[in-house]
Amino acid sequence: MDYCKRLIALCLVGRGRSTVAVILVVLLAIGFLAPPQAKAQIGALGVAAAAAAVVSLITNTIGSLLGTANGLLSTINNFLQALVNLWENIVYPIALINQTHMLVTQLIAQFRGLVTAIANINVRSATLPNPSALELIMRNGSITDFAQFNQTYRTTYQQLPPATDIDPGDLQRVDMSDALAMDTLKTLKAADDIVNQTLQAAQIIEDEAAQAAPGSAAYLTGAGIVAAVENQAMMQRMLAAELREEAAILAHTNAIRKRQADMANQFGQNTTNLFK
Amino acid sequence: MDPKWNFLTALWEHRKVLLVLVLIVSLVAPQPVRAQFGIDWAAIVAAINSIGSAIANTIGPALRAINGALGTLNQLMSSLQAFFVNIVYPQSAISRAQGLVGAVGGLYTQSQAISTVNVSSATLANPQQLEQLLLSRNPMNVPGVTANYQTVYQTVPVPQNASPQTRDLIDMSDAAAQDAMKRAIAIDAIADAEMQAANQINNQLAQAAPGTAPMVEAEAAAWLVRANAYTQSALGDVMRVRAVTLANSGAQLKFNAANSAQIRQNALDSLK
Repeated sequence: MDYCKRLIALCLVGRGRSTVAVILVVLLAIGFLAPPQAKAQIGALGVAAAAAAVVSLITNTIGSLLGTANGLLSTINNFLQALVNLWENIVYPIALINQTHMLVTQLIAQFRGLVTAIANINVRSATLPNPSALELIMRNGSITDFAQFNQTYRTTYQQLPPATDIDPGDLQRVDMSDALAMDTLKTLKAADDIVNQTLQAAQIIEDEAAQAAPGSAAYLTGAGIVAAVENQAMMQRMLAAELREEAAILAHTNAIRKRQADMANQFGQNTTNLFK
Repeated sequence: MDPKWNFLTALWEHRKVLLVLVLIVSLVAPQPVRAQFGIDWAAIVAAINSIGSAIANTIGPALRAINGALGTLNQLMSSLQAFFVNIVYPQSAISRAQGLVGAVGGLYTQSQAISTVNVSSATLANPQQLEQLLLSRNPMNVPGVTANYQTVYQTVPVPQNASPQTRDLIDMSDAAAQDAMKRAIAIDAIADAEMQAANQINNQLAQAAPGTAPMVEAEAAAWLVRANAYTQSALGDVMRVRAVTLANSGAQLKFNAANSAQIRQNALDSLK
C-alpha cells in the first residue's frame, strides 16, 4: 500500500510527472494516427451470396413481372387505339358529321321555301260575295272568329226555317246536320292553326339538326317522335269529326227514309179514308 | 547555448499548452476511420456493381418501356376524351337540344288547347243535347247516344209502316250511324290520352341525359306506333260508315227495281 502511494506521488511530481505526460502524449498520438481496424459483421463471401440472390430476384422475378406488365400495357394500348379508330373513323367520322350538317342545310335551302310557297297557294274559288266571305273565313285557320263564322255560314246556307214551315222532326234534323257541318268546318279551322304550329315545330327541329352533335341527335329524334304522336292525335280528332259528319249524313238520309215510310203509310190511310 | 536546446527548452516549458493543442487538433481533424469490411474490397464492389447492372439492364428498360406505354395510353385517353366532349357530346349542343324539346312542348300545349276549343253549333234543344254528347270526348257518355240519336233521327218504323226489307235497311243504317258517333267520342278520348302521354314523354325528354334520351325516344316510338294504329282504326270507322252509305244507295236502286217490276205486274194484271 505504501508502495503504491509512493509510486503515485512519484508520478505526480518532478520528472516522474513529466515522463507520464510524454508517455500519454505518445500513446494518444499513436491512437489517433493508427486506430485498430474494426472487424466486419459478416464475411465477404456472405455479402457476395446475398448480392447474387438480389440480382437473381431482380432478373427472374421483378424483371419477369415488369415484362408481363409491359406486355399487358401494350395490349391495352392496342385495344384503345382500335377503339379510338372505331369511334373516330367508323362510328362518328367527323367528315360524315359535317356532311350531315351540310345535307340538312341544303335541304332547308332547297325545299323549305318551296313547300311553304306551295302550301300557301291561294285556292279560293267562290265568286259571289256571301260564298266568298264564307270561303275566306273557313280557310283562315283562326279559332277566334267562330261567331262571325256562324253568321257567315247561315248567310250562305240560310237560317233554320220557322217551325210553322217545317215538320218538327225535320227541323231538328236540319239543325243537327247544320251543326255537324259547322262543327267540322270549325274543327278544320283549328286543325289549320295546329298545322302551322306543327310546321313551326318541324322547323325548330330541322334548324337544330343542322348543328346537332351525334350525342344530341337523340333529343331531336325524341322531340320529332313526340310531335308525330301529337300529330296522330290531331288526325284522329279530324277523323272523329269526319266520322260524326258521315254518320250525320247517313242518319239524315235514313231519317228521310223513315219519314217516307211514315208518309206512305199516312197516304195509304188517307186514301182509304177518302174512299170510305 | 545551442539553439536546438533552446527550442526544446521552450517546448518543455510550454508542454501543457502543447498537450492541449495536440488534443484539440486530434479532436477537430480526426483521421478517417477504416470501414467495417476492411478487407475484400474488390468482391464487395463487384457484388454491388452486379446489383447495379441488374437494375440498369433489367428494371431500367422495363420501366422505360412501361413509362412509354403509359404515355401513349395517356395520349389516347386524352384524345378520346376530347373527341367525346367536343365532337360527340358537346355540352352546348346538348343544352340547346334540351331547350328545343321544351320549346316544341310549349307549341304542342298551345295546339292541345286549340284542338279542344268549343265548336258546338246546334240551336235547338234536342240537337244541342246530342251534339254535346258527341263532342264530349268522354267515353262514359257513349251509352247515352242511342236515346238522344233516336230523339233527333227517330226510331225504326213500326212493321205496318214499312216493309221488312226497308226496316232492315233503316235499322242497319241507324246502327252504322250510331256506331260511328260512339266511335267518334272514343277516338276523341284516345286522342286526349295520347296528348297527355306525349306531354309526359316530352317533359322526361327535356331532362334526359344523352345516354337516356334514346330510351325516352323508344317509349315515344312505341306511342307513335300505337297512335298510328288508332288513326288506322279511325280511318276504318270512316270507311265503314261510307260503305254503309254506298250500300244504302245500292239498296235503294234495288228497291226501285223491285217496285218497278211490281208496278209493271200490277199494270199487266189490271189490263187482263
